[in-house]
Amino acid sequence: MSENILEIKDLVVHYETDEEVVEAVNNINLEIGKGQILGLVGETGAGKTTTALSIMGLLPAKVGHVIQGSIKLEGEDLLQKSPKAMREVRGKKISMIFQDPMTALNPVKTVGDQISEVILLHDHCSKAEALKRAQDMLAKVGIVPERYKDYPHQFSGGMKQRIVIAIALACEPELLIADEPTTALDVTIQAQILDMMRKLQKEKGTSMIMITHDLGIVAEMCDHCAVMYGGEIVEYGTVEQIFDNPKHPYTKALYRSIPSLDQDVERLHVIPGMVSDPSNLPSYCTFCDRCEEKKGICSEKDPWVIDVEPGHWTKCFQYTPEWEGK
Amino acid sequence: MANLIEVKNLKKYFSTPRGMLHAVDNVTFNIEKGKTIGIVGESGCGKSTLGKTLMRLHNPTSGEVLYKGADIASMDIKDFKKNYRSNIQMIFQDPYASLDPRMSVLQLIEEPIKVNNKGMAKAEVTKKAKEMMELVGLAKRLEMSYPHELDGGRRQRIGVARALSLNPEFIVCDEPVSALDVSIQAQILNLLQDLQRDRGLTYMFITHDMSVVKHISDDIAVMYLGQMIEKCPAKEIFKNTIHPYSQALLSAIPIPDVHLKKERIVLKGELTSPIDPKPCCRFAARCPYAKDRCLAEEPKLRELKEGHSVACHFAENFMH
Repeated sequence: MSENILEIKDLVVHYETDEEVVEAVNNINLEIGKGQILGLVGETGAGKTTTALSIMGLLPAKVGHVIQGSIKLEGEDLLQKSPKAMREVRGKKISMIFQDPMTALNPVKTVGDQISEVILLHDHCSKAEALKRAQDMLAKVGIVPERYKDYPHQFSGGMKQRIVIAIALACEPELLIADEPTTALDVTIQAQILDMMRKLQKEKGTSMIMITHDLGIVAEMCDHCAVMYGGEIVEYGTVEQIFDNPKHPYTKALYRSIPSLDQDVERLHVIPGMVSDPSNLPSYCTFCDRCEEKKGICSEKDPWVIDVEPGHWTKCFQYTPEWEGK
Repeated sequence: MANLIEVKNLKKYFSTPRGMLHAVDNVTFNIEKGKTIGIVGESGCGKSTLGKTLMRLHNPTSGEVLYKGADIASMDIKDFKKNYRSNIQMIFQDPYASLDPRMSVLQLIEEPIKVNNKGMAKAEVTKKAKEMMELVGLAKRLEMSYPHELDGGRRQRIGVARALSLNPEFIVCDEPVSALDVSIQAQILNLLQDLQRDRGLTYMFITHDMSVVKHISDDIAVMYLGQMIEKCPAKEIFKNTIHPYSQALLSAIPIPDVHLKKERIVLKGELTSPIDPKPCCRFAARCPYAKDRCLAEEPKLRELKEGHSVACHFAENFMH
């Protein structure tokens, strides 16, 4: 495989308030190859967005803390960088597309100004040149360049999201983090946006992290897939491995709970219980309390990473020798 | 089976500074008792307005809505509230916004019972509310909890309990699972199906999620800019999609299967304005097959084969 653009090692992130400590991300390890798209899947509270914010260095001040671990972008540890140095990285090397295009844009600045702002900040070029490049970006995301003088409210939801993408891609970042980029959009507009992202990825070789809860988007867009639950990655592999041969009980249950378009099922499968409370995680397997395949060992200790086939691992005792007899 | 609801030429226009907004334009359909009709379409196509108009939360501009033969669209709103409101109920989209944060679970469920049964003894109201909690699977210990303490699935169960507490026959479900995680979504869909089976409920299920709508509906109607452009049995629409817009809508859904490489029809542009639309096919501007006739004449919804109606001049060309 090609070299990695991003390597996350043993990352632990807590949110600390006066009343409680929320263990949002617990010891995750991730690698993303150059030009690859990684899908990060999981339900609300699984730690997907926290992982993304840690990479961007945008954890909420005072509350969010990286307890341990490293995030290396092309070998450099982002967590060791000063806030000033991180500002150089954000927008230039790593960009993020936020979930809600309706709130991500500044309502009192024209879209042209908002796109050229990034370019001026990072590439120190003349204003005229920045504006020219902003117009090129608009054209690239399928908006008439002449509309650079318009304000966000003059655009529809799908167009606003394309403007957010134009801002994110203005400085041709090496890594793009897309946090549910199409959740707020209609399917036909979603199809346009995904098409566009795929095209840009092919042309520029941008690496991407796609955060989503839509398994359909993962199947269509991604090369690798990481399934998150309770702040941990419980299964990781190529999309083919995860879709054809899911190993972790949570991944399997997730598949069965979505209605299928080509099969008729009378009743949907329900994962019993509630999503684990990240302020009160058990010391044993986090999914144990909802798991339908659990045995005694599962409530005794935390499972470790087990390779089930080359490049495909999961955190579940089923695939260890200890499973038998317990 | 008898039709519980018959909608005839229903129109709802809103007056805006820029002209008349045709939110629901000449929609005609029936819903059989005990069945579910799924209404799909993009945001702004008028599906929620249609639901609210059936509920008389909007007053229709013209047209009829027959509920067991009585026209509830034109009757006096006082009559409607007195005699029909409790028969027709609604479950709302966002369980985070549709519940009063200062009321406990029990109070929230008691509220509609109190309002619609004036004079009922307090003990009886409470008893009924507790029955409802049990029916929708809310544990007894949650009676005194407040909405912010509950997850989305439990909150939506409160919404279901509130709607059911009046013993309705017809429920408009407006995107009831869109705001929920997939594992919770499955719980609510199963609950709605169980209730339908046990109590013979009739649903109108509004959603933009095609896999959900296929799972729960008997019939599916596709809306585009206020009009119904295709209506057929749920199974039929995935096998034999006729209208070019429905084809594009279906092909846009990402399918969780890595080996399936399908052709996607990517529509150009976005919804055109529903304000004072021209008398032509409203989809013509985005339709890859549009011809002169589409820009000159508005297609009517017509039955092509049993149970399958399409509004397209050239529908025959797209039949398989």
